[in-house]
Amino acid sequence: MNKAAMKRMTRRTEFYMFLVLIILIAVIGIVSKGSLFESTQIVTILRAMVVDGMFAMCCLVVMVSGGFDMSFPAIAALAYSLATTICLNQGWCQTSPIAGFALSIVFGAILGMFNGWIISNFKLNTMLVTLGTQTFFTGVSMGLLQLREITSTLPVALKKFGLSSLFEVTNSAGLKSTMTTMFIFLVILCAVTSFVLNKTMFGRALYAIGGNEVSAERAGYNVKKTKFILYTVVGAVSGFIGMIRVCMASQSIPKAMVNKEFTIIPAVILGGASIFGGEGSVFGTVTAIGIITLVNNSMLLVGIDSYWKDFFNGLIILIGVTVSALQAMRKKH
Amino acid sequence: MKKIIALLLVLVMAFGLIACGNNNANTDETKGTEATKGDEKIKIAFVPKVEGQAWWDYVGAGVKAWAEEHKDVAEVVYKGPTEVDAAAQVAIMTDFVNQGVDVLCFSANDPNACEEICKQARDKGIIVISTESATMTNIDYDVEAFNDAGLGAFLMDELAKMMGEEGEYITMVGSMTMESHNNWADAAVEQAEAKYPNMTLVEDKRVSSDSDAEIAYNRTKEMIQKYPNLKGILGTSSFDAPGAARAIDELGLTGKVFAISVAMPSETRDYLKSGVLTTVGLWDPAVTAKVMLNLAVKMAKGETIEAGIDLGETGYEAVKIEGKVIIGDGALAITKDNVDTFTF
Amino acid sequence: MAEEYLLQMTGIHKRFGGVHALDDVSFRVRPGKVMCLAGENGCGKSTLVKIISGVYTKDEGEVVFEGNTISKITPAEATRLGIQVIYQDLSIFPNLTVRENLAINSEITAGRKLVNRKRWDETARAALDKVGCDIDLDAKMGDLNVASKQLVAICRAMLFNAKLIIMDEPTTALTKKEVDALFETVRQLRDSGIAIMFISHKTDEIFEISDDVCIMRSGKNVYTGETKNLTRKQFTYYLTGRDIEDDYFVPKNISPEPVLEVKNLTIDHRVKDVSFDLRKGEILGITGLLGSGRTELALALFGLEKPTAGQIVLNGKPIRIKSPIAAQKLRIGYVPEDRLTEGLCLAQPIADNIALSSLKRLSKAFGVLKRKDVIDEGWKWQKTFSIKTDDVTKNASTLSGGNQQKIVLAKWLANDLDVLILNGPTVGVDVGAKQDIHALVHELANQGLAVIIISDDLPEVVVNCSRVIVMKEGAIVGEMTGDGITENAIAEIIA
Repeated sequence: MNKAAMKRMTRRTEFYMFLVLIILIAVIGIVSKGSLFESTQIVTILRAMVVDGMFAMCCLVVMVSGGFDMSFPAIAALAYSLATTICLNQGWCQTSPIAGFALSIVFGAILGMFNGWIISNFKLNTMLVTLGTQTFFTGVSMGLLQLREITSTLPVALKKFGLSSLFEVTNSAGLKSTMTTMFIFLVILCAVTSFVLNKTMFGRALYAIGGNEVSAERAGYNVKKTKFILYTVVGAVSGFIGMIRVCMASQSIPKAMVNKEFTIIPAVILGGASIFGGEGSVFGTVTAIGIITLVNNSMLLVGIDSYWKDFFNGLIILIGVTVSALQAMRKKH
Repeated sequence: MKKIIALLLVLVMAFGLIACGNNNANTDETKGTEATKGDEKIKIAFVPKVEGQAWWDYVGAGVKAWAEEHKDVAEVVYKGPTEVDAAAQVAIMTDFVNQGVDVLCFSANDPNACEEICKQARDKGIIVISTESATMTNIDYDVEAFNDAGLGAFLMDELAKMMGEEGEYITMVGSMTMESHNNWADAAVEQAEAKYPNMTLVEDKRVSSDSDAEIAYNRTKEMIQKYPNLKGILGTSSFDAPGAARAIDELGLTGKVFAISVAMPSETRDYLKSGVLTTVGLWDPAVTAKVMLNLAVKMAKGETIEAGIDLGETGYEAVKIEGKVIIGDGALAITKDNVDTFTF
Repeated sequence: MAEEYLLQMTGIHKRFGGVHALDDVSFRVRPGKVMCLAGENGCGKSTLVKIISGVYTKDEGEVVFEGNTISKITPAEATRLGIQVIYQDLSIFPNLTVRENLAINSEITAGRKLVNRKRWDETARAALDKVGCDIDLDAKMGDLNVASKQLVAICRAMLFNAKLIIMDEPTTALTKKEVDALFETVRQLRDSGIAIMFISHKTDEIFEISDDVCIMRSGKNVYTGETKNLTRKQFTYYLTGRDIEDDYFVPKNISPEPVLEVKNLTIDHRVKDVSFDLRKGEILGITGLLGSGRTELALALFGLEKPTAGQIVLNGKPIRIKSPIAAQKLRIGYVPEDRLTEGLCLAQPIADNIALSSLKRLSKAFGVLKRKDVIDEGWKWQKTFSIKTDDVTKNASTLSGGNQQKIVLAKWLANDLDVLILNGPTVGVDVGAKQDIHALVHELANQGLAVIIISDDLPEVVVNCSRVIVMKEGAIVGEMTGDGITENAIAEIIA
């Protein structure tokens, strides 16, 4: 590695986040007297990363394009609540979960399209638009459709799918734990996001638009179309993630996603995405989600009171936003 | 042109929101058939902790049924915040106080936050009745299916039965600031210390499930990792037992680790039947709500409220009164044998 | 067949609503030559460029490119013909690497769906080769200096087999050295047969680089032809519509007693032991290269820098200037270099901007301010400074750069001052407005104001100052007065 490349690496937020993660793992590992490194605990933490990690991918691509999506949890919640309600009423998803997923993805795509249509056509501030649609979607779910919690009546195929596992691990005490099948989807989504962002012209378009929208237009990108597609896809993927969460928790709760954006967005910023767009990587985002999940799931292990959870998450938000703002300032000078 | 479309869009969205809001209020507002003659009826507002959750939906249904039955006497509006949010709840209560209802019934997300508005309500002559908020001062009465100590002891007795009265256990609460949950946990621990000398609380800190089964699941796994000999989980929130049960089931620890909490039959039915859970505790919150409403009517009519009074529901035929707290005998142990008798 | 002219535009008209933005404009571009399109702000240069690049459609007129009449130009058509515009903002992506910035446009044009690093690399190298420059392809665009960014933009334009490259005010943000390097590149492109259309309003640059010139004023082209047939004086006349003479400042009544004395002033390592005095009625120039300490010195006199040692004496009394407010109370005024960010509230009316520093004087009892007084104050200065506006209640952002600078001046002069410090008073201002500002400053000095001009624009210093102090590495290295002030004399000791 030459000097210039080294310098570039050390200037990236991702690099420091990764160091922080390594240090955290070491510290928690030592304080918990090795408990953290038990196979069962590793599986638990990886499992806990699935939903947040997948949402973070959605959030990342939007932030790379210079936007803010506050509505993805609301889209997910409305999509899966609607999908499970329909499946329940129609008696679907008794043998295969596909119908549930398909419905949720379609609903998510439609809601995302609505975001995309407003954002690309009226050139409004994405944060305000999605904040509006978020409230609107929640209103539709709670008020208009009166969607209710579905717990023990959840269609069996969805429950079964959520309980299915990839492999089983046994820890030193003989305790067994299984790795949920859903983890595959996290890996796939990260891989696909990384591929799209780095290896496709669409992904480069997102970086270009995030870097300089006017230039992207002049360079020949169809900015309007790109944004529309982006928000539609993010909506569809959010619907899919929502269904994953339903299967994992064996229940469909319309409110389960409320305020999720306030933990995901700061995490993505912490992972190196810029609040001004054009920056961010899958690696950094996964690292940041890793940090947050690790801490939230190890506090008791190392004997820290649950009271501190909000303190910690608030700190993450502050650090993430400050780092991003400082970098933007440094760039300006 | 685009600006106009954008503006229209915003308007449509705004109307949509208002429409949703109205819709909400309309369906929840269980008016008597002759609402115009409302003057003679007792106007009661019922503010739950949150709307859209199975537990409170069930309470809502109970309130609705009661309202239908008593439509000649009272007019009831059931409305709560859309998320567990103390400020939003106080805002709704303030609305009702300003509208000039006769009775305000509620279950506080944060009792302290509700004191001020309750004081105002009482100053205006409104009867204030709460539940799960026994520590409040600015109320007329607080109705409890049992007192906190009673429920805590009940949960511990049941857990001790499962654990064979010995072994390590932890406590789990829905939120670190949820007063009732913490009181139950405290009472349960006291009960164990008094009656079950062979049971040890290994984690002196309360474990928070954030009232989310997924998090209860993660916390359970974390605790089992930390305390390999863990035998019991004393939960409080209705998400604790289902979440813990899923972790116990997945880890293959059925019969080795036991969990209990207050829980909805619908969410624990499968686990009770498969044996992962043995017993969960519950009271019938709809019955408690109806008791609150019955009490409201009695008070509005000017009847004297004293210990031993019959509040018209099973378990509340002769209630105890401790200061401002009315305590019934409404604890229910739900097992695989009786779970199917509950429709919620 | 080689045409004599690459592009001929004849009788071009463009109207926006009632505004006749282009009124019968005609000009020709020769291949392998540099053609300068000159004109003051708002003369229609940008509109013309947008018609050539296909962004706007002309209302009337004929466009002939390589002998073919083009009826309608679209952006895609312009690219196909070999017309490339390098906008002032360079249309770059600061967050992407140099490689991506170079290759992305052609990749999009080729309709690619996937990224092929090898192909991107080849494209990027080919682009750099066309201009013969060497830039690290992995560097982030935002980390490059302006000159390198410009080179990348030029290289990128070359990828499209450009025959005509239009550069929109490319020298605005460049230092003299960078301008020289840019001109070297421009000459190199010119010699390889590419036509360059160079948009500028800077006289020196136009005479240095251009073969042909087209001067526009108020939507009309007032001169087209070879640059060599034009004198500077004529050029300025065409540009502004009036004769502009370099009007040397002659001090009329310099006070015997100094109004301001600076004794052994030191600020960290940036200003070292500087002493000078300033009298009423004189214009003192402080010049030096960037980093010579000239700006820090000025800021210290306005309370924005804290001296670490030394003394400032005003009207015989030693003073300490703690803040800009304190400076104003002591009747010292400061006009910053970056008028847009430091001196003006662009989104506020002209009159309010002018009245801002004299609110105390204008306000009645209990600080009540009458709207009419503010507007009257605005009109008063509009007349004094001939600020080009029909309404002082319009926002300051509606004015051109020179007129904005006038407002900042007015803002300070609206308060009676003893000392006025001007930092780069005419940076980014066109010739006509520059002349107005100079005349105004001369008049103010002759009315008894003590003026300090901080500038690295040597001709400006020579024309305007009755005394000049030259700074280098924080210290004073020379002082000259009257006829002794020449560009050569300053240049000798400045670096």
